[in-house]
Amino acid sequence: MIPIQMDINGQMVELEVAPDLTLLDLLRDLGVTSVKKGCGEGDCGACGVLLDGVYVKSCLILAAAANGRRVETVESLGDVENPHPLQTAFVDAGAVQCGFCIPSMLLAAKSLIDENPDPTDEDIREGLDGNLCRCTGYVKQIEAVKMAAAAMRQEKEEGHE
Amino acid sequence: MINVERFLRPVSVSEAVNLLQEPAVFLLAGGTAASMVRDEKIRTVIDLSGLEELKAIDVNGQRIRLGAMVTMTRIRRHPGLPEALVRCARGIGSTPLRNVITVGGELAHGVYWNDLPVLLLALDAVVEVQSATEGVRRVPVAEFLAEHPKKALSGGRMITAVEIPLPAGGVSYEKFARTLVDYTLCDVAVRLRIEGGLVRDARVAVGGVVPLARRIPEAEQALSGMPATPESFAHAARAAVENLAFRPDFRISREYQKHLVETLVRRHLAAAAN
Repeated sequence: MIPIQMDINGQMVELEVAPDLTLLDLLRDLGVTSVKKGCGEGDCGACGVLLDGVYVKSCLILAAAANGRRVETVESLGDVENPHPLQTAFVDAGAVQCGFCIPSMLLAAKSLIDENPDPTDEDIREGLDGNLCRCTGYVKQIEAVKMAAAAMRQEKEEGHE
Repeated sequence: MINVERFLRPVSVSEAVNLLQEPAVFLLAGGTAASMVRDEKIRTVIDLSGLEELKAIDVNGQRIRLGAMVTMTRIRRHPGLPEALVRCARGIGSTPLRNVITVGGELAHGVYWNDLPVLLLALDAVVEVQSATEGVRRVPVAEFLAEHPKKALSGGRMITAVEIPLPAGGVSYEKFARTLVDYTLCDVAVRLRIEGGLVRDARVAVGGVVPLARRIPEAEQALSGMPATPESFAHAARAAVENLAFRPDFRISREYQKHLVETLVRRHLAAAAN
């Protein structure tokens, strides 16, 4: 067993992990089940998290390799009472059907907008290219990310006034 | 990975190469290959993520130097790199994979779907390999791949950087796949130096359709000294097809593979000549 510590959504966690345990399985074992296990081999993108702010597939990250790092899941964005502009936009645009891919897709979108506050459709397609959605045609999700980016730009401008 | 006992995190290359002297070690870079490893013999994982000295991209008039831990996303977003290199990095995996896949990892595993080695072959890149006993060695990428990466990296060696000589000249590259994020069906990279309308120097490299990325010397020789015309390019493209030992691919037929190689080589020679 390998001793590790990490920051999960602002909470420091210290524990021992098996060498072949993935960050995905660790998070789910800890009850963070918004991180979904679809394929478990880096294909579907349902397990995305932000690792030190970088969007990665947690099924490909060994838990031991996440030692000392900051992990953010969709819980870090917002909740029903205080939704993040991305969460609001996904609801408003009707971008959610079964919802399985959405927590990870929100984080992909968050990381995209953090880098590029005014993304084009092409930028959004690239930013979401690691996320499979079996229900929708991605059109509403691209729309939602555009709406959220606009809302976040406006929020920022208002914050500066 | 199930029997791993130690997870080591060196902070310098010299520390890392000393740790590599031990048997049954696995070098962990981006981690996308680690999930495929079912090797029960591995006792030690060496996590390279703390090696800041391997994360630099350095460009000057003579060469591009990419540290082994540079990710595809960094190449994708770098403003000072050649278009073919940026396009190649863009075509590898999807965003969350590009965020972790490294230059070293693209070279170390020797699998048919690695895209970057194909372009590096056309660019005459040099792989910098380091070990505790041999120090730093500079191996042409063609030699590195021909020997097979697993062998080239045996004996406690690790990749520390890749260097691409400049100016590259006329370069053209394409990854042909069913979707933008799918594994390659065929990669083609070519480079041409043309003087007075004649081809002085040519590189033709392929991947995907063969077990491991390789140059096609017969196609390169077919171009040497020839006028840079559509006829010469078509002739070289046929020579490329005739001299390849194709990899069986359950997704597409041999005929389709041949058609792909011929079409893409011809097309990209013409693009590189412009």
